[in-house]
Amino acid sequence: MTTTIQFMLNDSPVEVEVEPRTLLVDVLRDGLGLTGTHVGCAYGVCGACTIIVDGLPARACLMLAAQAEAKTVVTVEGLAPPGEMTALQTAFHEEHGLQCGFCTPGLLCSLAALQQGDPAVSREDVDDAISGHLCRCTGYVGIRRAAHRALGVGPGTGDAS
Amino acid sequence: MSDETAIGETRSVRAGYVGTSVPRREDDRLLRGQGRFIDDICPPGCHHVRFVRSDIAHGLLRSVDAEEARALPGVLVVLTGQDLEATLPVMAPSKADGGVFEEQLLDLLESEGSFIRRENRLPVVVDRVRHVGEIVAVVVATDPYVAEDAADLIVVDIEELPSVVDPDAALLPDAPLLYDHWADNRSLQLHVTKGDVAAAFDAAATVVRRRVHSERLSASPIEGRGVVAELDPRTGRLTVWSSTQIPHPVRTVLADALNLPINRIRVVAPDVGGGFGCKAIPYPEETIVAHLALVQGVPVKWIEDRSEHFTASIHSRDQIHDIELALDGDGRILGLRDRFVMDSGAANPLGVVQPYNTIAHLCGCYHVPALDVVATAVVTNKTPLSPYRGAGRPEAVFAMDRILDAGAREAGLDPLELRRRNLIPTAAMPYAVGINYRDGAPIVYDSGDFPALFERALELANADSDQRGGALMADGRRVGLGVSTYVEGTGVGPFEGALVRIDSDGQAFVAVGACPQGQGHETVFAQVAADALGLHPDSVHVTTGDTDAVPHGWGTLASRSAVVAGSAIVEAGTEVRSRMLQALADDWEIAADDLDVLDGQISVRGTPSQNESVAAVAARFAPGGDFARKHGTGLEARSYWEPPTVTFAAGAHVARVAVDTETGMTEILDYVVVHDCGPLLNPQIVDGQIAGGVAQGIGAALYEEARYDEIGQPWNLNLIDYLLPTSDAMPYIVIDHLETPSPLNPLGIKGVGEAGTISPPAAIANAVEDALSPYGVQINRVPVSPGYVLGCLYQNNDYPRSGDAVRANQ
Repeated sequence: MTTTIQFMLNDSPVEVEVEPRTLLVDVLRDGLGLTGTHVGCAYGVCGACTIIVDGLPARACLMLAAQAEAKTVVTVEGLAPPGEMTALQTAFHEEHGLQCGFCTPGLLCSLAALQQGDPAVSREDVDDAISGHLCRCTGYVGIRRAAHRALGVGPGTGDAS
Repeated sequence: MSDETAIGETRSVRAGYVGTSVPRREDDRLLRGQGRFIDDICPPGCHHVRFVRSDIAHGLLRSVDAEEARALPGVLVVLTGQDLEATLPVMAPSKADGGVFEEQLLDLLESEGSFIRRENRLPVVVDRVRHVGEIVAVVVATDPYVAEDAADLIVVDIEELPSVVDPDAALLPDAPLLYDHWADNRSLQLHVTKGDVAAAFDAAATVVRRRVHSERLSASPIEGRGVVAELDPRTGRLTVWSSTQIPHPVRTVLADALNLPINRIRVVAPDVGGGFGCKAIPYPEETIVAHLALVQGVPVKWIEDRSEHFTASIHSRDQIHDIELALDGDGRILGLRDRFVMDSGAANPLGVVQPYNTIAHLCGCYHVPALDVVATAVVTNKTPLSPYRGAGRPEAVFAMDRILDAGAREAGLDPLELRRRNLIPTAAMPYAVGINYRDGAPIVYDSGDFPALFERALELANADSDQRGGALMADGRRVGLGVSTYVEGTGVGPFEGALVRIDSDGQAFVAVGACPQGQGHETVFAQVAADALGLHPDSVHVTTGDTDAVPHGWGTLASRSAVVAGSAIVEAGTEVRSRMLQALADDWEIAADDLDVLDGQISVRGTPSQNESVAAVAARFAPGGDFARKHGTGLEARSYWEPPTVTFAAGAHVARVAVDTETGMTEILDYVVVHDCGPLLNPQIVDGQIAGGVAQGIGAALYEEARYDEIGQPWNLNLIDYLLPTSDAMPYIVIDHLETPSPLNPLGIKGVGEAGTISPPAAIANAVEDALSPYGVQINRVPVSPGYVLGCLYQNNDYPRSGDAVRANQ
């Protein structure tokens, strides 16, 4: 038994056949080939699978694909036009905000959603968004530095708690 | 090599891109979601594996009923241990790391009653399960959802046996045995001595004794393990992608297990989402998945889920030390005695590595005239233990720095002053410890300045301030200061391989056996090769983690890759450059020494108008022309660089904490690291390694513990119950460097991968005990969880361990 769903994915309309139980993250990765969204725990804790659904960050491992019907979905692949990078991505690069890069797409999506949703975002908001993601490599030092800089909430020291 | 000539090369090598924070080339793909991790690989027609694992810690496997699962549409095959017993051989304990050194080490220690017992294990259990998580059946299906459905339909009947959970209880005479043919549950005993310890304790003015426990940890990279295998029917070759730190040793295991020539197997480690040691041994899943791809004739894939990671990927630490320190009247160390038990779980896949690392690093930065250590590893019904970042050193440092603080208190000395009196003086370097490393070589601290490290760390932490010793903060919390120092033997052998060539277009190709899990090898090795060859890093392509690219390799673990693979690149790259310059010099009838090469341009020193591009020269090395006939074809060289022994990095950490005596919560206010890994190859990456290591150390110090109940059931099977540090747990970290070069390799470097992880448990526990000094509390285990702190405050250090029936409040 399958059902057909339609949604906007990275500015393009998509239509996919899914089983009712299929998770959105599996449709994105296996069905649509966008493997930038990663599964770290599959129950919403680690944050690696975070995408942007209708402007808000969402755990793709906790959404059924059917829930994406008529929604607007952005994944890490859609954050910047091909060949370009957002200021946030550039800041992650320059501030060593990633090592293995497995948690990175989720963090980028959370922070991009925060940035787009609230132009007057505070440093606390940024730190709060980061705290919803697990990174085992960086100790969050470069992540905080990059996010503070890109979202304009600090001198880029990032370490200050 | 590492002879005088090579060390001389260091200077010119270091004049270029090495030593600068060249931006990471890995980032571009990872930031765009274009990385290629194991779960991103799915060949057409790929089938999916789900393992059925024992949910009983200890028992006899009576039956596996898979009838219903086999009938499920989409299921290709279900296999049990009995189905696979005839085809899949047992897996011997790994020789992926120190196993190669094990025999010679045990020969050295034999006279002291040391021994090791190692068990070959079947990839899939046939008769007896020994920990929760062991594989009892394998499902292959067209779809991962179907594979999981089928796994749920399989009925496993296990007759439960009494479990062995507590390592002390495992040693009791009436303890159930994990391996019936063993005399007891000891899997290993190592006894190492130097000097006259009995005399030291007889002469002591102060003797202190503590029992301290470093809890069991899970490495928990955000990407778990995974394997994909595909047989190419055209070539008959098997490609196995594995999220591993050791592709070459995995290839060796697969060749043995599958009875295939090495030339038929290619193992590739793609982008790997963190490893930290838990991906540094061969696992049964690799053998099983590769076997399935061969016999089923379809690509096969397995991706570990998070709960599997907590039972099927190795754990680490879990040592209980009974440690005693003898001090003279001036607070100088006379002797150290340590008896420790390592709970190795149901097996001990890496043998001596972890316990011997603990022994080898116990004395650390301190002059210890007499030493007597006995390490005992016991088997229990838990997930097997193997090195995780730090690999026995955090446990050693925790025991040593705790007993030093205890000794200082007993002797009425400031713990900082006690350390000052016992640090190995700068003038004593190089310093011979008087025992051997696990590669059999005598331990010699080849370089370093421990007093300078220590004083710099204290200065950066403003340790002289009154913000310590239980001083009250305005909010009622108590402040404490703790210090810890360590040495780390890095760059262990036996070798690492590198191929370096300059193609006919003047661009270089470098392949190394070391493979990254986020450390930035592609960037750093391009820097190293660029300087060795005289090219710009952008002209150097680096390939890692592919057994087809370089015939022999070892892997990335044990803080070794920069040292060992970096040196191999220097050696091979230097040879390529020498050949290139010598050939040109012959043509120009000048001395090769008069030629410089930088960013792909060769010029005559003092006559810049006479120049030639590397590309133009490299083109002439192409086969078939007069130049190549005269000077030899192709510009390529290889090196399998063997370190003479490890080179010692060192560091000092200072933690200042605030402890809330009502909630038991500890907050880290300041954290300082001063580290010496020699010259920094890429400062940004080195600092990133240290910061990430400190975060894992803070996890070990305050949050993480993999615990079991009294029948061997794990408590923490997810990231809700197993607490990894989040960003709000991370303090401001001050990092500074001392750069004393190592004489043991051409780059003068020492490893840094594990460094940050080693000292935080000791420094933070010392700081908490200092903060609680008004209460006279002893901190004798990590993690220093709120429950433990409150237990110390109110129950006099009585805190249950794994295996105790009563669950403690976390």
